[in-house]
Amino acid sequence: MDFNALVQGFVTVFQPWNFLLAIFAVVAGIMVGALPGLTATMACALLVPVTFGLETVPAFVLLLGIYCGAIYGGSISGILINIPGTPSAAATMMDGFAMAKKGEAGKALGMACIASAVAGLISALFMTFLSPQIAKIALEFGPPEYFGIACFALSVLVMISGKSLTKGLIAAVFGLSLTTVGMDPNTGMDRFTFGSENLLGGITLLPAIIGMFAFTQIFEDIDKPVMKTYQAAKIGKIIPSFKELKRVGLVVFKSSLIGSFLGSIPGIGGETGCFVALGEAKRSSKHPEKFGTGILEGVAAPEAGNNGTTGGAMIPMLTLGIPGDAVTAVMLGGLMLHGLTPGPLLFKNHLDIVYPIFAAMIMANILMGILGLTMARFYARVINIKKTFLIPAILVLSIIGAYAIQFSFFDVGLALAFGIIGYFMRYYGYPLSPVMIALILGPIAEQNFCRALMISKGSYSIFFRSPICDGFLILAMASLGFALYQRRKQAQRDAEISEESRG
Amino acid sequence: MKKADILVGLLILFLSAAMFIMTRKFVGHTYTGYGPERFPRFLALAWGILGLCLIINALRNKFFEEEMKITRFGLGRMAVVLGVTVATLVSMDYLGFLAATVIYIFIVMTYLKEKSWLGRILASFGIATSVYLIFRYIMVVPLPEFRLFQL
Repeated sequence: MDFNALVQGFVTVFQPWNFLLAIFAVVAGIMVGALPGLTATMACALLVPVTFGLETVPAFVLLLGIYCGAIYGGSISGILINIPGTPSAAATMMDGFAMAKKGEAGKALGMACIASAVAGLISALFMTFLSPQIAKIALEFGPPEYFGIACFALSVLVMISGKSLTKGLIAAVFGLSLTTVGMDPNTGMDRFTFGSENLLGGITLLPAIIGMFAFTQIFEDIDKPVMKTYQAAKIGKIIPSFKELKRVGLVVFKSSLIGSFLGSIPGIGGETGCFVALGEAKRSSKHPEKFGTGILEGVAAPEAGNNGTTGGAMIPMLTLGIPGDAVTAVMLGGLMLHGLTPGPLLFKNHLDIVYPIFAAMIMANILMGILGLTMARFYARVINIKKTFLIPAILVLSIIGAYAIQFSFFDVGLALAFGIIGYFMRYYGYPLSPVMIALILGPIAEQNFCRALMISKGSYSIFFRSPICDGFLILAMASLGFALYQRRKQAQRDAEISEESRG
Repeated sequence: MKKADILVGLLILFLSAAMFIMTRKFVGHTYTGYGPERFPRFLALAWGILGLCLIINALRNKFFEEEMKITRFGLGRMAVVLGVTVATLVSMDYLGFLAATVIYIFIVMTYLKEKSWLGRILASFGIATSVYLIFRYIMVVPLPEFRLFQL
């Protein structure tokens, strides 16, 4: 950890232009998060092409501000109208909306904001101190280790995604299959290009992400007969009392650590973080029966849990080039768009980029705390923005975003195709995130597998000679086995419940 | 969902077979023996197994009921917006980005039943112009220009 570089990072992000950009990004992020249906992934996917015209540091100030803001923003609509703005706010709305019904919506919003900011800050510090150490270790990694990590990340992703393991695996295999389109990395032979020159370079990541997360969402939104506008609950007092803050302090701290740790495991995002943190808060509470009835702990724990994952998820992305969740997959695309390859070498060759990213993450969370509390009433009004205005704007941004990467209308078509595929996948219960993350992990796995074989002159024993690779492969198998066991147990429980209800 | 799962399973089996057959054309070996066909073949095999699993699970009634249902109404709306989007992309080459986008936003808003005329007009010009200015002049993205009369 280089303190001088961190100070320099702060100097960079506090430059007026970057600072203004951070304020804009956090406010925009909270607004996006507050709007039901618009997610942090979608916002970042639409913004990455915009950052093309910016330098790397301002680009990341913008993306990180949006990311942190949107994860918190999701709780606003959850609390006020009982619809989570983002999937990771699903746990917050149980107690949040119950508080709103009791006339304490403002206090719930304030608590969510404070918990999010504190957790985001803790996880940003977690990332700042831990990433350089992991990068140092990762410098020693060779192709077998990277292959092992990619396999592990894929297995975790499948384990946590959706209700059906088969469908999660199908989504991941679909993503991996997409990576085989284009030139083979070893022999240069083209695969599945069907004679199209546009496919020689493979499926471009960002149009695919825009398609899967923006177009899919739009198609899903427009197929509802009524374009709803919502009536939000009254806000009232926003900041909880000192006594209340003291009471939830430990819950926030513990949930932040849980979120940071879970976030740093590739594949686990805020959706898992919030439920695990809520579960732990409930388990350790003296009054677990009060959860769900509208208590501050029920808002603080999941909010700290989901915002805690933000910094954690950046760790594997920056140090290993393995995205922690769907948003960091988009960020990885953003880094590559700026000509940088995420991984340990980033920490060796681009400290001028890495430390400002750390500083930007810390700054974004502080700003989120301030702007979240001071502008809470404004965000509550954002929920009422009509979808008839939002949808065309997002459509245009999606089109131009897909086009601007390579100035190609083929990419726009690709994004639309992914939008249609994503629409049907969602309706039939196939998770989308594994597709995108597999699209990133596929080449990492295949290229490192080939490199390892080249080193060993074709002997597969190389994968069993590295304890780190072995460890990750065992973990990958264990996580798949655990997922199978868990689902079987769940099925048994469901069968028992249905039998009881029949009896 | 049962019927859908069986149909998707069959589609996946077909894809798996097609993928496997196509890999036979991928020739080119490295000294490690790992050619360009290996990974796609492994994936084709995975597709096959997963397709079978999906069908077997559906036949054994091990499937999850969908939370949302695709309706004809929904599909129709998606098809209309998709059609308008494709038409806009084609017309962009002649009308240019700005004009095509203004018309596009207006049509989509009208289709989504936005009642206010003024709102539709202001939003169409406002959104299209701001996106055009940002991408054309700040990010210097070469966008299609109006060339209808040059044809």
